[in-house]
Parts: sequence; structure tokens; C-alpha cells
Amino acid sequence: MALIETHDLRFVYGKGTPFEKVALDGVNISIEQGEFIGVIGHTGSGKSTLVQLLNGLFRPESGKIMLDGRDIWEKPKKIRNVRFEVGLVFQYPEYQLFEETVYKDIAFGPTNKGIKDKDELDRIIRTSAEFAGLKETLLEKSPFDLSGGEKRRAAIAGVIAMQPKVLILDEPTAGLDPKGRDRILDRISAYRQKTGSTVLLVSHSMEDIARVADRVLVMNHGKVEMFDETKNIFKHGQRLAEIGLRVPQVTQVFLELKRLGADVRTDVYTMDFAKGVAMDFLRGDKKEENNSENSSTDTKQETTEGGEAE
Amino acid sequence: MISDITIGQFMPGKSFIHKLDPRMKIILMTAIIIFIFLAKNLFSMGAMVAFVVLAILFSRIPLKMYFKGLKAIWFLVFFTAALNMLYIKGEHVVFQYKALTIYEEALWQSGFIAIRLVMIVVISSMLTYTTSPTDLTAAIERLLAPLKLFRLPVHELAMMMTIALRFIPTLLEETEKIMNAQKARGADLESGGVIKRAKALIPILIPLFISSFRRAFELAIAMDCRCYTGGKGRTRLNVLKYRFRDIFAFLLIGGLCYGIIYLNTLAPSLVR
Amino acid sequence: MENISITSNQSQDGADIQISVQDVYFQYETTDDAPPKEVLHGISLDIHKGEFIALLGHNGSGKSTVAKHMNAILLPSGGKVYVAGMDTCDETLLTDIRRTVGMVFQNPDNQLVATIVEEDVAFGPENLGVPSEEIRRIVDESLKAVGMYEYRRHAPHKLSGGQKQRVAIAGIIAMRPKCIVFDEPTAMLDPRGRQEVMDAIDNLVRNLGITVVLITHYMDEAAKADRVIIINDGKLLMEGKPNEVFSHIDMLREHHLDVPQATELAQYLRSMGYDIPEDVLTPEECARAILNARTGEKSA
Repeated sequence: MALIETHDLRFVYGKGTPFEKVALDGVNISIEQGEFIGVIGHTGSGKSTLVQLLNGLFRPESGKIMLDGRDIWEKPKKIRNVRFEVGLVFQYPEYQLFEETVYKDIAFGPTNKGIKDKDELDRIIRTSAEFAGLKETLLEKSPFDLSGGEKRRAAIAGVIAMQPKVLILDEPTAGLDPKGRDRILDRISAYRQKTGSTVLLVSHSMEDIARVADRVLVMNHGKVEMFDETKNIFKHGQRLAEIGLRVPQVTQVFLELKRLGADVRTDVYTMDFAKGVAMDFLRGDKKEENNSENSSTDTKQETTEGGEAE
Repeated sequence: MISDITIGQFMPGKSFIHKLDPRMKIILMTAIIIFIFLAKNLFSMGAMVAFVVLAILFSRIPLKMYFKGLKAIWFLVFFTAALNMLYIKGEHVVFQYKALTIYEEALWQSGFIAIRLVMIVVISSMLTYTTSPTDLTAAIERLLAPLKLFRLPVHELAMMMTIALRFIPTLLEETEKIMNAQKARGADLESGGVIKRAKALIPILIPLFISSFRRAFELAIAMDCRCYTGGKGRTRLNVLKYRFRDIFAFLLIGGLCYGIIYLNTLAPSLVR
Repeated sequence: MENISITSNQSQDGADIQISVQDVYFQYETTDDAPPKEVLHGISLDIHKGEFIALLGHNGSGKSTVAKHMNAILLPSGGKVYVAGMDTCDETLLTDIRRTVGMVFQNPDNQLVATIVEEDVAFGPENLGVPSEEIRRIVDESLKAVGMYEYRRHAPHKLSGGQKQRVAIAGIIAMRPKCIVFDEPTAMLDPRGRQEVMDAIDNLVRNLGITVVLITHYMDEAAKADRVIIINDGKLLMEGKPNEVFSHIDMLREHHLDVPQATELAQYLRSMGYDIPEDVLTPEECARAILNARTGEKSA
């Protein structure tokens, strides 16, 4: 049984007003326990709406969301419980910090969940902070005294502390510098590895997605455009570009080569793999030839991705 | 979404009323509201109602928008009318049942009050429906300009109003976002008593305050960078100019006001 | 602290210098007893007229602080900053300095003042006391320059991030500046918004002759610049043409900066002995270089 399943999900904004807009229509997806899913799509494609629906913040207009085989809206009064199961980190989550100390702020979620035992709460807060890469010394500081990247990780810790089965992050690296971005992606991967949780990462950045995701969900105009393993998604570079998505630069190199008439594969999305493919190409190997060199680079791309995934 | 609420309810259009100079509109609407109170018999009130109905037609704002504006005050209209009906004493009894006596004078009085209230709401909604908030602010700044002599910071007040109008939608959107973010952390905003609910607002209000301060700080720097130094020596993109139609409207309303005074003399006052 | 006094006369430095940052030190005043935090330790750089500069560095490197010195939002604690020959410490020149060097910030929402796009663009010229008829002309021109003319009567809060940022740029262009400093203008935008803003910036440099200083974390944006300056720990770390700077992959990595993937791939192939030029920056260039190398390889 899949962990999350949606059946013909439909959502409309501003129903009955002149601003009415169909945000999602006919969305059927299924996500297994422990998967790392990348969600991409341009602004207005419905990706943010989708993750907020999964978290029970909005009620779908029609269709169902099944979590562990149960409709999350079965008992609308209990919807708050779904939010502890499906943890959602919003865009720019640092703006939701409000407590006097980082420690207290991280405690907000688990306290709402009903965890009363002081020792257990303390343990949860400290492990969550560790997952988010926050030093112990920061816990007693005011969240407003932290640096930008630290604030964001504190906010992420606040959601991890609810111990959700699924962790959804909406653009967790937006506005950060490369260092802050790498730090956060590394922490998320590590968290996923240690807890075996399911993670959904919404991002505009194909490079980020290519780095961490097992499968990629591509949204376009409120519909599912593609939902497949990462390497298969980047084969469709042309299509991705058509729907306004920017493929990683390495992929662009090979798409351009192809456009110039070269006979190369275009499902290249990581640097290591690209190096191998480019070398093969320069040596004059054809892409169809499945010689040892090619297959060894092929496994390289997969192990790089798989290694982070496991 | 909350952010879809239009502030000031401005409805763009090209009607005669839309095109009037906002200063003239404010002056004339004030005059009309005053004369609504001065109309004291059926002739003058009839003329006033006829004028307002004509104005509604000329504004080309859908009727239902005016009803929307009235929705909020129906209760007030009926309540004040009813109170007047019960408490005003007169000479001609229309209806009597046990201790309840209703006089003819009371009927007139409450009827007039109801009509006045409705007309005031209609006229002031007309002003906000046909004038953009920017024009309104500009007009208020210009009309209040003489008060600068009394050291009233007119320009600063207008600037504050503009910035408030600019940021209200942004802050509403932000409030919605923060609410959702805290809900996603299991905040319970919907249940509990007054104290519990007030407490539940803290996680929303604190981030909102902090973000507003940050915005204010950044905006101040951005305004500095655009050479803002206060009202002194500032020019304007849109200069307000009285045109022929403003003079026409002025004369028209002037005529109406004179007519009301004249009509008032034709018959005895029905209200005090 | 070492503090070299500036003796050189501005006009001698060459008439084509727009902004000159000369051995600038800067420390933030702290409210409590803590020692003031120094973020710039004697940095010097010249920006020439019409140049397109990309300013790089990780957060906390001091690059934003340098930028804020370029139109007197911050004043140096030591050293001097000259804008078109004007000393930024001279308060009487403040308005002149700010109309010469405009500034666009990260968050487009917090730069727009008015409730209507054209009124916002007019804000600068209004402050400068430009006559009304001329403001109208300037506003229309500025909005056209960023492709937002059709939106002149719209409310800013209804626009997309990229559109808002373009309006903010128009608001700066309307002051007729010689130079515009962009402080991470694309950091909060989606890819489409980023593209729109970069196109607008391109237009400023290529067609309007405005000097541009762009702070960014995106290397593909920096690759478009004439010159890249990397700042680290309040000092100048490196400067040069994009291809020169980006060829130091290890150094960029060490300072937590991204390397354009096209450059990295090209460098790798070059290091493996293939005939790939050094100055590859874009995917197109990289693809072409690989193709050429292969043809070369075959004929060899």
C-alpha cells in the first residue's frame, strides 16, 4: 500500500468570485514510504497548492487524498492530526519563528501535538536541532539573532520535531547563497537517510532536484505532466524547456550538442555522469554502443544518486 | 483568498462621475450630505431622492454594489427608525394598542431618518466606488493643504495613507501565509475560549510585527535611495485640474441646494 | 588599524571612473558594549563608466556592505568612496550622489511605494522636483525600457515577482542614474522572473549605457558581466573577466561559490587533454567546443 495516494484531486481558488481559478485538476499520484520525491513546475503550476492539500490546509474541491490508506478528510474535525503526520515547511519558513528562544520555537509543534513529557520533548527538540544542523549553543538564543541560513534551519527543525511520516519542503533553498543551500540539502538528505522518512522537495532548481530526488513529479497547469524516476525525467529536456522549466546546465550542454546534430544521449543531469558521457563522445563512441566504458559511467550516475538516496 | 479584497472598493470606469476631479467630488458629496439633512418636506426630499437616483444611474456602478454597501447598515436603519417611531410624541395618533402609541409625526420622522441614512451610505459608497484610493489621497492632501499653516503635517499624513494602502494587501497576504504556516505546525486557531484564542494569535502576531518592521526598514532605505526628503520641492505626475465638467457639476449641485431651500418653503416641515 | 590616506586627486584617476572605492574600512556600530564588528578591511575597487560588474561572495563576505557604500547608504569608517568624483561623506552632495547611483534591492515588495505602477515609477522624479509633463514622459520611457508599459495602471500587489522587480527597476531608471547597483535582485524570483529581470538588466547595459553593478549568487548571471569581482571576508579576493575568474574552480569551491557547470565540464575535458578553449561559460559554448574538439580529434 502506498503511503500517499491522491484520486482525481481537484482544487479551485476563489470559488464563485471573479478571481476563480482551477489550481489542480485530475491529479492522481502515489508515493511509497521512504521515497525522496522532487516536485517541480513553474509558478502557478499547482505544485504549492498540491503540497498544501497533502497537509490538509485546504480541502479539495473533489477527489481524495489517502494517507496510509485512509481519507484524510474522513473526519474533518480531526484534520489537525494530519498536519502532524505530513509535516510542511513553507517557503521562507524563517518568518514563522516567534518564540523567545530557538528551543521554545522548536517545541511549538510537538507541544501542539500533545507531547507533554518534559524529557521526551527535550529529546525530540535536541534530535530535531541536530538533524537541522543547529549547534546546541544556538538553542538558547533568540531566533531573531541567528543568521539567515540558521533561521531557516531552525524553522525546519520546528517541523521535523513533530516527527512526521512525510516531510514536505516548499523551496527550502530559496534566497540562500550556495553555502546555505548546500548545507540545507545535505541536512535533508541525512535526515532522510537516518529516519527513513518520506520527503517531498518542491523546488525551481533542477540542479537541487537532480542532486537529491529518486523520483520527480513535474506539474504543469494544475496537472501532472510527468512523474518518473529522475534519470527518465531529464531525458525529456526539450519538453521541460517547453513548459518553462530550466534544465540543469549540464543537461543543456547535451541538448545543445544534439541540436547541433551530434549523436549523444540527453538524459545527463549530474556532473560526474556528464564527464563520462562527454569523454565517450570525444573518443568517438556512439551512444548506442553499450561498451564497458559507457555502462560504467551509467552506473556512476545511478550510484551517485542512489547513494544519497539510500 | 484574503488578498482579493479590494481596498476602498474602487471600480474603474469612465462615467461622468468617475471623471470628476476628486477634490470637487469630495466637496460636492459633502454638500449633498449636508443638504440631505436640510430637506424637510416631501417636495425637497423628493427632489433629493430623485437627484441621488439620477446620480446612481450616471455613476454606471451596478446597483447591486450599492446594495452591498447598504447590507451592513440595514439593521441600523431599521433600529433607529423603529426607536423614533416608538418614542416621538405628536398630535395625530395613527395606531394605538395598550401602551403602544404611534403618532403621524413619528412615522414621518422615522421614514425621513431611514431615507437619509440610506442616501448617505449611497453617496459615500459612490465616492469610493468612482475614485481610486490614490486620487482620494491626493485630493485630501490638496484640500487639507491650507492646514499646513497650523503645522499639520499634511504631506506626511498623505504619504502614510498611500503607503498604508500599498501595503495592506501585502500584509493581508502575509498574515494568511503565517497563519497557514502555524497551522501546519499544529496551531489550533479555531477552538477554545476567548483567552485560548487570544493566546493562539501570538504565533501569528509576533512574526507579522517583525516582518512589518523589516519591511518598514527596507522601504525607508529604498525611499532614501529614490531621493525622498519629504514634501518640500516635490512635484507630481498627475496634477489635479478643474475642468469644464467640474464647473458644470458645481453649478448643478449649487442649483440643487438652492432648490432644496426653496422647496422647503413651499410646505411645512414634516420633521424637526 | 592600518589606514592609508588618500592623496590622489580624483580627476587624475581618469574621467571614465564612475565609482571609486578607495581602501574602505567599515564597522557596524553595536548598541551594547560589544566591540564593533568590522566587515570591510580595506577594500579598493574602481568601476568604469558603462561597465557591467558582477559582485560575488558568500553571505557575510561584505559584498552587500560594499554595495551600500556606493550610494551613501553607508559611509566608510576609514577610506573614501567617490561617485563620479563626489565624496560620499559630503552631506551636501547626497541627493546628487543618489540620483547618480540608483539601487535595486532583493525584495521587490519592499521597494514599491505607490498603489499604482506609474505612480510608483514617478516617485523618484517627483522627489527631484521634475516638472509634471516631463515626469509623464520619463515614466512612460522607463516603463517601456523594462517592458512594463502595458501594466502602468495596475496595482503592484497583483503583479508577479519578476514584474514587481521590473517596476522597481523602472522607478530607478526614472531618476536618470548613471549607474545602478543591484543587490541580489533575482534571489527571491522564480526562473521566469529571473530571466525577465536579467533581460531588463541586459537592456540597461547594452542599450541605455548605464553602468551596472550586480550582486548575485547565480553564476550564469555573473557570466554575462564584463568583469567579475569576488569579495571574501571584507577584502577583494579576485577580479577579472568571467572566464578568467571561473577557471579557478578550486578557489571558487573553497569560498563556497558555485561554478557554472558548463565551465566545469569544459575544464575537465581540457584537463583530460582535449582541445577545449579556456573561456567556456555557457552551455552553448560548451556544446560547440566539444563538437569542435571531436572534429579535431577525428581529423587528427
